[in-house]
Amino acid sequence: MSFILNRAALCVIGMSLITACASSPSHFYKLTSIQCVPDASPSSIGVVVGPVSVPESLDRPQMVLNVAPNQVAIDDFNRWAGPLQSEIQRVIAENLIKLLGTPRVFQAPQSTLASPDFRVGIQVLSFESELGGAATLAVLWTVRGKETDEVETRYTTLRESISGKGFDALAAAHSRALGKLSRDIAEAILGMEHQAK
Amino acid sequence: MGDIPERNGHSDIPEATSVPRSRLRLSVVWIIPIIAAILGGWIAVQRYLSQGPTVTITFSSAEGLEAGKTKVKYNGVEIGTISSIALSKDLERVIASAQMAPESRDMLVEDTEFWVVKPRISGGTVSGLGTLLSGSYIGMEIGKSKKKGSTFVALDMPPVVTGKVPGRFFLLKADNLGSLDYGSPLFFRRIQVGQVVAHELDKDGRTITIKVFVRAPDDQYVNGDTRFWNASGIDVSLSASGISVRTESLVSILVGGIAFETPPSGPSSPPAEPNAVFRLFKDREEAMKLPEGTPHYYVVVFDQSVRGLVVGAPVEFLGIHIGEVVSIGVNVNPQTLAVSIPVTIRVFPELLFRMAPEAERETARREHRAIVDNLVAHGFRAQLQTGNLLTGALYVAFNFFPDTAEEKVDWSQLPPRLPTVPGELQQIEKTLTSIAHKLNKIPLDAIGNNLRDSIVSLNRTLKTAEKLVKDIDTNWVAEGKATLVEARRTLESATRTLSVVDTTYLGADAPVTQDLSSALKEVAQAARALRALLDYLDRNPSALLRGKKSASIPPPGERPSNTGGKQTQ
Repeated sequence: MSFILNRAALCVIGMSLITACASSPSHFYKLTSIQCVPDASPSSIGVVVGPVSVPESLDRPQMVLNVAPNQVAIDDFNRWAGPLQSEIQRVIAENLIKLLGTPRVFQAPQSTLASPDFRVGIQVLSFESELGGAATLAVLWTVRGKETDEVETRYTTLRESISGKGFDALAAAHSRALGKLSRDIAEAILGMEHQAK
Repeated sequence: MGDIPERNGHSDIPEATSVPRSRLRLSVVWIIPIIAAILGGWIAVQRYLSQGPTVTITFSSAEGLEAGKTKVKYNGVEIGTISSIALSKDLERVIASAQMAPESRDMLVEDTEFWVVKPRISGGTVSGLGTLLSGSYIGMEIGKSKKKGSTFVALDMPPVVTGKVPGRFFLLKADNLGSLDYGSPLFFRRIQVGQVVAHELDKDGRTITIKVFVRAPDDQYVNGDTRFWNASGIDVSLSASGISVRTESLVSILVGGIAFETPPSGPSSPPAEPNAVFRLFKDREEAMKLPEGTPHYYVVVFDQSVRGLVVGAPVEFLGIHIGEVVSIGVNVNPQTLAVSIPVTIRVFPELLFRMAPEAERETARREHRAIVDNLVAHGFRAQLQTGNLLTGALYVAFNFFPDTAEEKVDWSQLPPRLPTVPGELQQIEKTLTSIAHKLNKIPLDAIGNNLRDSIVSLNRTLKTAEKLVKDIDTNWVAEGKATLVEARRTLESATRTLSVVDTTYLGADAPVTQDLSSALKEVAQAARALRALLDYLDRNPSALLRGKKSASIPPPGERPSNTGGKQTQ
């Protein structure tokens, strides 16, 4: 009798545990490059983008959301599809291809360009996400030319309001900010190119 | 009621007559005093019979003795008491009479010994300490005589050896007593086997007789060949052969001692008789010296300094000790001022023949002279050698020197003269002088001239060498150039090979590099994923059991949304 009771209790506990182990599914988001580009004359500038450094607090798959001025929340169920720095690097490289009109834009370290015309180094200082608020981006970027004295260093701060609810809108806002940043970089590169000529 | 026959008067009753009692008969009451008298007499007789003998003992002093109290003990058993002490007539001695126990009647023979037992230190031992507490008593030793005695003279010292201990007495004759005393130990192989019992100066005043007692069973080791020597103190000697320290035991250092040993050589003799006489030697060396035979005296003359040679220095032959130096003299010839030093030595040639059979020894003794002449003819010479470098002690060494000049033994002199050779140091001097002479003879001028000629010819050689070098320069340089061009071509091809290697393996496009970088990327990604997992677990450790729970994100607050603020610096 007690043996049967024991077996029953065991089954009940096991099943409750199994049901408890069911977890809700996670959602994944990515950054996108700019869609419409104004006329870009084709050129053959060789650019290498990278390395991109991102603050350590953001270097995680989960999305980091601002909750209070000094408090963040880490959302386990809404994640970036890939590591944040490779996403940013990819998007910027894509944007530059479109903006500069040159297919020779590579990402470090897989670049097969032995001696590029320009190297772009990006240091992301802040990448804030506020649901229902805005997406903030602060980047310190360097453009290095072939000669040692051709160096341009700039600091850009951008703030894009999130249009709509949800994380998708958040990712879209970040993408827009990155697009604007890419335009600035392209301007700088073209400026340096003209100077060199 | 009976009828009593009436009689007339009283005449029928017989008359009583008194019989006077005999005076000789004692009354019963006397039995008691008689018995008492008998008992008293019995006791008196018993007392008299049980009383032991009385002896008279003469002491030199009555110290520690008390009449009526001091006991006489034999082997610790009380057998008597001192009954009275009185001074002798001449007031020199003390006469004590002792009442002994009856069982001691047989013990009191003529040579029984008495002495006072009190604390005493003698011969390295302390005895009689018990008497400090219990008071002195008189010790007794039963003698061996058969005659009874009743008057005794006490000993001053307790006998060293009691009669019961088995062993033998021996007599030793010595020149002086050394530091021996009554009770000084006797050692055999460093075991104490006996003691000195008595010592006495002989009548002629030259020797001392020492009586020693050796315990059984060790007395069997004393036989006719045994040597006794005085082993007191520490024996330190510094001789040509070095320093030696000898001692028998700590006791012997303090109180003296005698040791004995039988020399190993020679046939074993029977054990010595009791009271056999031996000679007491000064030390072990002297004692164990084997019989040397007759000494022969010789003179050896040296003409070098004999500083370091002393009387008593050894004389050796090929390292064997055969005698001593007896005296050292000096002889100066006033005309020629030549100095010679004759050294008288005493040798025991028998020491050389000890191992030989008796017949050879006999021959050696008889034909002594012929043997010495033969030896000298073969180069047998005396030489002074250094025995001890520290002290500079010298000794006389005999050896064969085959290269020396012919010499003969001078038998006419007394003692005979043996030839000598100069000492080692002298020989070294001689060699050095001869070397100096040789150096002198070297012709330095001729060498100088030769040297000059050599230099001139060297000069000529150098000039020829110069010409040769010029020749090389003109003829061989062209060849050198061709070789260099060849070398450069080789280097260029080497460079090309290296650049190929560079692109294949080291360049950015090289498949090796790419494989490596992709592998590294994989590793980095794995590490990143692991880090994220651990971070999540750190925040929600229960996720392992309960799975992920949707966290509650605080709803976004009411905030004015800025449309696209842009700042560029």
